[in-house]
Amino acid sequence: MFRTEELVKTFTHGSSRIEALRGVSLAIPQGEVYGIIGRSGAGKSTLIRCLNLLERPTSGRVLLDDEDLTALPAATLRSRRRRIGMVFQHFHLLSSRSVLGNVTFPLEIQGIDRARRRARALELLDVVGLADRADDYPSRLSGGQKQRVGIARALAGSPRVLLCDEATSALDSQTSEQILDLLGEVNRVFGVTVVLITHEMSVVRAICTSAALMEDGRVVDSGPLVERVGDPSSDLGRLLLPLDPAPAADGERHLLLTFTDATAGSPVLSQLARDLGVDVTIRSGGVERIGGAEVGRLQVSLRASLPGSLRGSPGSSPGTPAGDATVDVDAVAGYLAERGVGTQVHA
Amino acid sequence: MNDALFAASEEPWTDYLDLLWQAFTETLYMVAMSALFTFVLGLLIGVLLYATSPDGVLANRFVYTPLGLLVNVGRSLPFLILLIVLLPVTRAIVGTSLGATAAIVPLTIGSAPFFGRVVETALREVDPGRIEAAQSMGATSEDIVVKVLLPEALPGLLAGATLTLVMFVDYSAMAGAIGAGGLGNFAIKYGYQRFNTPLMLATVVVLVVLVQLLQTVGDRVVRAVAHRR
Ligand SMILES: Nc1ncnc2c1ncn2[C@@H]1O[C@H](COP(=O)(O)OP(=O)(O)OP(=O)(O)O)[C@@H](O)[C@H]1O
Ligand SMILES: [Mg+2]
Repeated sequence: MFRTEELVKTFTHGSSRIEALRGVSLAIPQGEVYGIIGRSGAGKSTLIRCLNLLERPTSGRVLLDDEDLTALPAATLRSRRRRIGMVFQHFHLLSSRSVLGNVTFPLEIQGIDRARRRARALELLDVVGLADRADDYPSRLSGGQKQRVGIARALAGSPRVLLCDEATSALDSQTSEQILDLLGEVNRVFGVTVVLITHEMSVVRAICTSAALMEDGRVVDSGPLVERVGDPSSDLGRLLLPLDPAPAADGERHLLLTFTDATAGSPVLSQLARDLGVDVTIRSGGVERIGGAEVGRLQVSLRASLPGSLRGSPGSSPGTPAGDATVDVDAVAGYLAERGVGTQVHA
Repeated sequence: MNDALFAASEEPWTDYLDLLWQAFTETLYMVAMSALFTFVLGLLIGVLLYATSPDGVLANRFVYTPLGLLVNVGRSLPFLILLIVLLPVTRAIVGTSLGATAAIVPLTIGSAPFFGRVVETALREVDPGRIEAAQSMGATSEDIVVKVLLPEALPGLLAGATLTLVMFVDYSAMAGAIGAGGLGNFAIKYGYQRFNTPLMLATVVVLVVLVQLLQTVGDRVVRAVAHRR
C-alpha cells in the first residue's frame, strides 16, 4: 500500500512560485494498476516523483507499507527505493552498457554477485521478450524494445511497486498497446502494483483498475474505475465513458444512468418502460469493459407513454395527474436507484 | 639560394640523430607523466565541479565557488608565466627546477584546470534522466559517478584527453625552452642558437608527426568507444 498524506510541493525560482501539488492525499492499494491522469501541468509527474522522493515534497508524508519515507535517513531511503521500480517516458537506459548490463545494473548496486544478477537479468529479458538481444547496445533497439529493457531493469530488484511516468507516450499506438499489455501481465504475474501516469484516457481504460484525476495540483476524483463509472457525479466516470448530451425536446426529461457489473446485463430499462409506462430513448453513451468489469453510462430521455400510468408504481410518490404528458422523473430515478442503477437528473 | 640558407650550419643535421632521439624520449616522458597526473587531478576537479555545482547531486557553493575560481585563475595564467612562477614550487617538490622531471610539475599544474573543465563539460553532457534513473534504483553518489557519469561521458572524456595530450606536446616544448630538456630544448639549443636551420626543421617535423599521431590514435579510440554503444 502506497499512501500520500497532504503532499504539497512548491517550486520557487527567485520570486516566482509554482504550486505543483496543493495537498494530495492518495491511497494506492497493493496489487492495483493505478492510473494518474490529468492535463499537462496538473502535477502528475511531480506526484509520482514524490512517491520515491526523487522530488522532496515541501510538506506532507509518503508512506510505503505504513513506513514514512520522508522521515528515513539517506541510506535507508536508498534501500527502500529498491522496492520501487521506475519506468521513464524516455527510457533513460545507459548507453555505455549492453542490454544485459542495463538490467543487471540495479542488482550490481545492491551488491549481488555476478552469476546471480546475470541469471536474474536473463530471466527478466525472457519475460519482456528480449532474451536474444542481451548483448546488443540500447542504441540498436527500437523505442518499444528500449521500453521493454526499461521495464526489465525496473523489475530486476523484485520491487513491490512500479512507477511509470508516461511509459508509452514516446511510442506509436500499436507498440504502446504491447507495452501496456506487458505492464498488465507484470501486474498479474508478479503481483506488482503499477502506478501509471498518462494523459490518455484510453490507457486508463485499457489496463487500470483504479485511477486518480488531477487538476491544478489537486486530486479531484479518485477510486476504483467501476465505482467511479457507477457514480453519475464522478468526473473520472465522465471521462471514462464520455457522453455527448443532446438537448431535451419539449415534454422530455433527461436522465444520466450508470450501470456497473451487476446491472449492466439486466433488462432494467425495459422493465422500467413496462412498470412505469414511460418511453425510454437512449440519446448517448454505451457499455464497455473497464477495469475488468462491464460498466455503462447512458443518457436517456423519458416521455410518458400512457398518461396516468405512473399511479401505483412501487415506492413512488403519488403519480402525475391523468392527462399530463410529463414524466415524474424523481419516481423514475427512485425506481432505478432501487435496482442498483446510478441516476442523475439533468436540469 | 639553398646554400645561403644553410651556410651557417657547419655540421650536417644527421650527426644529431642520437641527441634528437634522446630529446624525443624526454618529450614522451614529460608528456606521459604529466598526462598521468593531469588526468587524475583533472578528473577529481571535474567531478567535484560537476557534483558541487548549484544543480549538482552534492550542490555546495562553498566548494564550487572557490574551486571554480582557482581553476579559472589557473587557466588564465599564460603557461610561460606559470613556468617561472612555479620554479620554487617545483624545486620544493622535485628537488630541482631543471630537467624533464621538474617540468612535470608546471605541466600538470598548468593543464589540470583545463582538463578539469573538459571533464566537467563532458559530465554535463550526460542526460540527467540517466542519473535520476540510477537514483531511483537506490544508487549512492559514488555509484553514480563511477558507474553512470564516467562511463556515459567516456567518449567526451577521451576526446578531451586527446586535446590535452596534444596541448602537452606544445607546453613541453615551451618548458624545454627554459631548461626542461626534450624536443623544445633541442630545437633551441642545437637548431636555433647554432643557426642549424635544417636541424630545427627536423625537430619541428618530429613534433608535427607526434601531434598527428596522438590526434589520430585519440580519434580512433573515441570512435571505437562511441561505435560500440
Ligand atoms: N523542477 C521544477 N521547477 C519548477 N517548476 C516545476 C518543476 N517541475 C515541475 N514544475 C511545474 O510544476 C507544475 C506541474 O508539473 P508536472 O511536471 O508535475 O506536470 P504533469 O502533470 O506531469 O504535466 P505533463 O503531462 O506535461 O507531463 C508545472 O507547472 C511545472 O511547470
Ligand atoms: Mg509529466
